[in-house]
Amino acid sequence: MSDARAATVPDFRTRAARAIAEPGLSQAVTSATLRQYEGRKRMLPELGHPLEIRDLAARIKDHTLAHLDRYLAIFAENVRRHGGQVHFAQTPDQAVEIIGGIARRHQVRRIVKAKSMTSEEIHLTEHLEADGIEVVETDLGEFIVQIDHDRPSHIVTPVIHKTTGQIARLFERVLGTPYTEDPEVLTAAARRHLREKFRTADMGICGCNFAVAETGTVCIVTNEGNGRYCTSRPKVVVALMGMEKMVPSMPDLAVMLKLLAKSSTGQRLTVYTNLMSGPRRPGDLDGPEEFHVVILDRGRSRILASEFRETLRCIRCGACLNACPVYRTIGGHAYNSVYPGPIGKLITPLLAGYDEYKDLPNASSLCGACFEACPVRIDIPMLLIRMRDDLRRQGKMHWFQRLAFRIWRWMMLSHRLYALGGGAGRLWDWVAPGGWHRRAPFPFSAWTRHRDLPVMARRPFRKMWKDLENS
Amino acid sequence: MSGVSQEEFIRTVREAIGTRRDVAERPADYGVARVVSPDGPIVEKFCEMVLDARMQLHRVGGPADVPAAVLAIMKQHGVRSAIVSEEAFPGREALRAAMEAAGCELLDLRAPDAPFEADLGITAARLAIAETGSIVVRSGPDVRRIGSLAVPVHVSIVPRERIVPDLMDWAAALGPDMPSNEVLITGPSKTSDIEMKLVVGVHGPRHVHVVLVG
Amino acid sequence: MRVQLFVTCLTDTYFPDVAACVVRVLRRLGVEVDFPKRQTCCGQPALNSGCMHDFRAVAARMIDVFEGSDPVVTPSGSCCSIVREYFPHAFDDDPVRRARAVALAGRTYEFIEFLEKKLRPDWSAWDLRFDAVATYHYSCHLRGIGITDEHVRMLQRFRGLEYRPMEKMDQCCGFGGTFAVKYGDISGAMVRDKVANIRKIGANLLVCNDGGCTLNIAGALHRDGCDVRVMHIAQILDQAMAASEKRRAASAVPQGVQP
Repeated sequence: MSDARAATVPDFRTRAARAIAEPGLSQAVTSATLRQYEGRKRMLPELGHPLEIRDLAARIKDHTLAHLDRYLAIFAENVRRHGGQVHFAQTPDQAVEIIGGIARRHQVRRIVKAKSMTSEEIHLTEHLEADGIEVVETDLGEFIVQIDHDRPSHIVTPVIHKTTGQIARLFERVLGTPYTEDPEVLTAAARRHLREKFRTADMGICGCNFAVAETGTVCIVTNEGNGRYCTSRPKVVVALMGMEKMVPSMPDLAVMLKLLAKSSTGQRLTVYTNLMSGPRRPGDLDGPEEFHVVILDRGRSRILASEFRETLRCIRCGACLNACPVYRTIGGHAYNSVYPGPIGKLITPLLAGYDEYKDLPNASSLCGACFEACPVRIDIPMLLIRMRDDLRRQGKMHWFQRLAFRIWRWMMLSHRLYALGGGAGRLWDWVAPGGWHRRAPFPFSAWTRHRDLPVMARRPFRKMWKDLENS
Repeated sequence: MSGVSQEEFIRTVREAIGTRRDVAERPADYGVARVVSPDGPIVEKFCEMVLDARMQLHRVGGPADVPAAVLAIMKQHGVRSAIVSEEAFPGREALRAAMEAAGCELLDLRAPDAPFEADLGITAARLAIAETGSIVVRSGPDVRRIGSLAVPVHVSIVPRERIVPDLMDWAAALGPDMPSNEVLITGPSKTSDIEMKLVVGVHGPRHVHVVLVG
Repeated sequence: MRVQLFVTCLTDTYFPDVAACVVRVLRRLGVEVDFPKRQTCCGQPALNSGCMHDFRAVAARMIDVFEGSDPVVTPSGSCCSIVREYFPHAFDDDPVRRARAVALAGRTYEFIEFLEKKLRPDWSAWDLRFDAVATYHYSCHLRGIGITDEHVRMLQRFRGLEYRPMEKMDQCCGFGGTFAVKYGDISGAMVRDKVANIRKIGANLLVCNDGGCTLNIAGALHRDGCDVRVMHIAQILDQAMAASEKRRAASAVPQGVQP
């Protein structure tokens, strides 16, 4: 399915240019991300030792990943001990088949779904709908995305690319609500619509923020409460998790929870932290009769084996997106991926292949704001550099760039050649008598399209030094 | 294909890990993660965090004062029907009696749609966490999962001795015998999905009242 | 105390006056400055492009050129961060060179970092004045070397300088080395946003302490017809210290001599 899309999707630079040209987009994205960015900076100091807690979280994740085989077995055993069922999918097709099979077995007509980026990876909703099942996204942002046939643009707040007016027009068209830009009224309309779906759905699907091995628990967090509905009312519940979501024990979960909401939206804790350990027990007043966990690999084991293992620490908080100047400039859709932003620049090519996503690891100024924000200390700039090196070694770097740096290196290994290069540059400066170049030849034309280039200084410092040395 | 066997899946993972099993041990000391010390004023901290999480707080002297506090909440919201969970909490029977006497219809906790019909849901907190102002609700034979979710107003009875300082304390007491469901509630239901504008009361309760007893 | 000056290729080529100011400021504070003449570049452009082998070759040369034990001072935060953050890990298969890389990283400082964390001069001995309404761009690589508000606090020492923090002052200006050329549209949008924030705050001076950022932002300001001056804090310090010395000398004229 990805090949067919690649044929029709314009390349990254075109997508980015279009996003930049779209009126109001960068403004909306910047406003939303800045608010969350400031919120994180305000909240994290509450932890007393935010840097040490982040180091602790990173270490917990590294340990879990280094022993993931053991923890997966422990987790599965505990889920089953609670009466749940565990399924293993190495590919998206397998995961879809498992979940589709569960739905078919129970003759499911209506599914209510909580937010799950992993489910977007495998296009789960599309496949279930193709089977004739009604799948209702219940997170408000994802619900808006669904009824607009759009895609989320941020992994935590999916519709920051939409204005209230756009949402109002959408609700008018699809739900029949009279046009209003009052978010309370719009939300109430969604609440009414979805409440009935919650009441009558026969299956619930959720994602997984964390899976706790020692207790066989799936933990999901929401602010709205839709996650609790999806996993309490229907008779059958399926939790889909990427295998890297594992943590060993409850204290590990607590460390992650302390960091997650603060890093994400600047909240102390998400409103509902929902812990599910199997189906309802005998005597329980409610809860699902069947509880399934579907564990997905889809390239994560390959990442585990690679030099990019660190990216699997990610707890999907979105802090890096909120800090990233490139993301603020182009928004999420330009990445053409389930995971945009800095972490997306790494895991998208790792999960979906370098060919379609070659630009992503290159389209970063390596400013480091993401690394600074990350609650599990993923060194994204360093990993991006490694990935660029990896691309080069796999022959996916443009020959022009390889040649350019070969020449550059040759010059930089000799201060005389370096000085000669500077001299040559000064020759070119003759065409800019005013002191500024307004146009430059390829490849520097990309510079002068957007800004001027000053001429070089008449005398470089190394020549000035002669005078300074003796003064 | 319905997926692969557990053995095959885990074997692939084991091969991927290879010999890179550094970080052999879990970190020895989680102390740096503690935010609230047991020595501090944890009840005051809890109260401060409850309010900061946009919940309302009612402090009463003892179990005998609970019914009055709940009746006041009911009056505030014009409540005419309610579901009351059946787990033990101080003053529960007197509360039910007082509510009925005030003309409130107590719906059958077991009726499937009762939480959708009730104006108010009452549960007791199994625990409460001072660090975040969270109330811990554990569902089971006495407590409906959505009894604190589908209602527009949720009242949580929190006996003072059930407050623990920190999330680490909550976590340390949990083990392999987890219930099928436990929820940490830290405020009323909300969203900012529409252009980052805060709306309270999305799918869950719009109003959460914490009645702190003792 | 003696230091070695690492001028950096951009400063050497485009803003040599900045380096001259660094030298003069250090000398006024009693520090002797050496300039290893064979220096060229820290290798950042190659590193950022993933040309690790080219980077390693150039980094190895720099380690040779800056042999010794004196502190190395550079006016450019990004180059300093390359030496501190990437040199130590560039030679994992060559223990001897690795040790020398680690040693160099341990004695390389950004200019203000050197002043405020190592030298710690008594600034009250100087009458520092500079007339401007100034705003400040926080260059990205300062993050990696633990520099937060040292530059702003330095700016606030100047009498007559009104400091106004601009919006998103810590947001990347869009230089990123080859990024500015390879993803010109995105880079252009980022630097235009920076210019808009500079205009909005109403400053007449932008303090910018990295060669790449300055090249980028000054170029964008000029394209936008904005006449905000761009200066490195070393230039401000140099001017202010020179003026302070002059005033001191003038007021120290002995009795009986006509001024």
